[in-house]
Amino acid sequence: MNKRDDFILRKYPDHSGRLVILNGVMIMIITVLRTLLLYIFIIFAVRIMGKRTISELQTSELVVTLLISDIAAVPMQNTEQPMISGIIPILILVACEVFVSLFMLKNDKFRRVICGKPVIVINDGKIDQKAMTDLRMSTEDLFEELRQKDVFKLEDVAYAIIETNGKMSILKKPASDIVTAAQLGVQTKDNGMQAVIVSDGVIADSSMEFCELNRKWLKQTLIREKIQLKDIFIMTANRGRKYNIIKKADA
Amino acid sequence: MKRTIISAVILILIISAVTISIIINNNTSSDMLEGIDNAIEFCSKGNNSKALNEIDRIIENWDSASDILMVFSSHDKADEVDEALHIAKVYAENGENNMFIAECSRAKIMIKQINELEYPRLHNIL
Repeated sequence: MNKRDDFILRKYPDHSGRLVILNGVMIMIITVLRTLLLYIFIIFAVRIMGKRTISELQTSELVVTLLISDIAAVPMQNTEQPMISGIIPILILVACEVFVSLFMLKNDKFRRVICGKPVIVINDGKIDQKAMTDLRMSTEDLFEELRQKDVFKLEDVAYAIIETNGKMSILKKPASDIVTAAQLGVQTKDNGMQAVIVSDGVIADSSMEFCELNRKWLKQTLIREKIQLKDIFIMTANRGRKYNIIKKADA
Repeated sequence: MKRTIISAVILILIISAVTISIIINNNTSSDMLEGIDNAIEFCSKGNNSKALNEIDRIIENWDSASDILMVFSSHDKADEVDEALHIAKVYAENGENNMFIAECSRAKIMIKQINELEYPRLHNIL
């Protein structure tokens, strides 16, 4: 018997198939626990970075988001790596991202270095071919972006700007734009914004506060409508006290 | 502003954690290396019983220290050191002094490597 086998027998007296299976099960349990912990941790990390990261990614935010996903995968899949080897880089990235975005807020030049600046590709109805070349944007890309903004004729566009996050903003020519009530001289009532005040039988107090409503009003409304709170799927309301109730399917 | 404060706190905590890991690693490895050197010396002088006692002590220290070390370092590296120490013990029990010294030296190199990886040196960064 060689020394390695002797060592293994001393350290693991019950050197049998059961040990191998048990070891495999333990590794799976560790993987499950690590995945759960890292999942919670990444949600926390993205929350620290803020809502912008989730909606419209700037260059630095895109980089950080991609890196976080790759870094988190390593300790998740490889139980030999300590979990801290994933947590520390993610925390550093989050902290750096917050500081960089704060500095970008204060310093316009720095922001231009990191994010670039918006580029006008259609200027006063004329396509800027040099700008398109600089952006490596083909005519197909341009028309695709226009169609996604419900513009199907080039002549309708006054200005088209590629923003720093890569999205296109369009200003149509007045003759092609949608007419507003103000332009027609039509008086319209401002109904305010609707908010969900009851969702699946649960009252959203913050939405109630936004709509300048209270629970007393809600209770009176439900009595008038002859409906119970637990039977409501969605209830929306606005500051004008106009409401809409959708009952649960099984109510 | 809240996010900035949280990020600043995070950075401070990370720097503290990294510093603590370097200190723990350094303390553990220096203690282990000294112990291994002593064991090698005892074995070289033919004092096998003392070498065996020393290696037992080292294994006991490593078992307790490796739980903390594994939080910061790769687990397989810690396991390799553990394996080398146990094999060295077997050699000492069987009176194979040359193999004991070789295995101890191997363990020393691995402990030094674990220690070396913690320091922010250029070759580690690049």
